[in-house]
Amino acid sequence: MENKTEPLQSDPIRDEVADQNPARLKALQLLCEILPPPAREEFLACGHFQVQGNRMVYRIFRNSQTEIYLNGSLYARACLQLTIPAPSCDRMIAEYLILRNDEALYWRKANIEPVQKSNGKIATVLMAVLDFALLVNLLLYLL
Amino acid sequence: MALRKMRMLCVGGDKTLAEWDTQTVSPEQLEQLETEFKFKLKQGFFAADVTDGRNVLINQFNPDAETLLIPRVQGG
Repeated sequence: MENKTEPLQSDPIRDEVADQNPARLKALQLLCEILPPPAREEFLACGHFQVQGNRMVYRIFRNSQTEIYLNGSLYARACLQLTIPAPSCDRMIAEYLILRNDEALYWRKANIEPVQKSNGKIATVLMAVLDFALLVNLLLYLL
Repeated sequence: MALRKMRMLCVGGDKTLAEWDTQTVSPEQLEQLETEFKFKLKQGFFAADVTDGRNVLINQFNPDAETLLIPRVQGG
């Protein structure tokens, strides 16, 4: 699992209190009420929290797409929205509850985009090097 | 005495649709609550029992549960 956490840009509670948006503040309070203590602490410290699925780990962010990890590597990114314009913490509540109860439903509903593996790029570079070596070999043979 | 609520996620954050005392709620009130619950599910809402960290999706109204109604979701 890539466990690096990007430098914290925002403190969820400080931001909500600062902008005095009651809807967002209520959503934040509800999310904190629903999340189990470890996830709540992670969210308050980092702005995201993790949900363990059957095989995947889901990292749910406040302001960006959910990351899906398989065997510790980033496997895909998912986007799931409420059909109403609700605060992002409400969307996080929905994602958390659906993932916790019905992971298959999450996969049916969310727009999931696999992350392109860097292995593909390495293979391309290796093929290019091999092609070049064969070309040099051919030129030396002809000369 | 145990107070329970039925809440719904909406544009303005969560909104309390109903609040009742599990020991004194009348059968008529319970029927009303159940009708409201079923109506929301028919509209495509999900319902979750969020009592004391239970956090399970439910299809049946439970008067002893703290209920949260979540609007339909879609891929973004």
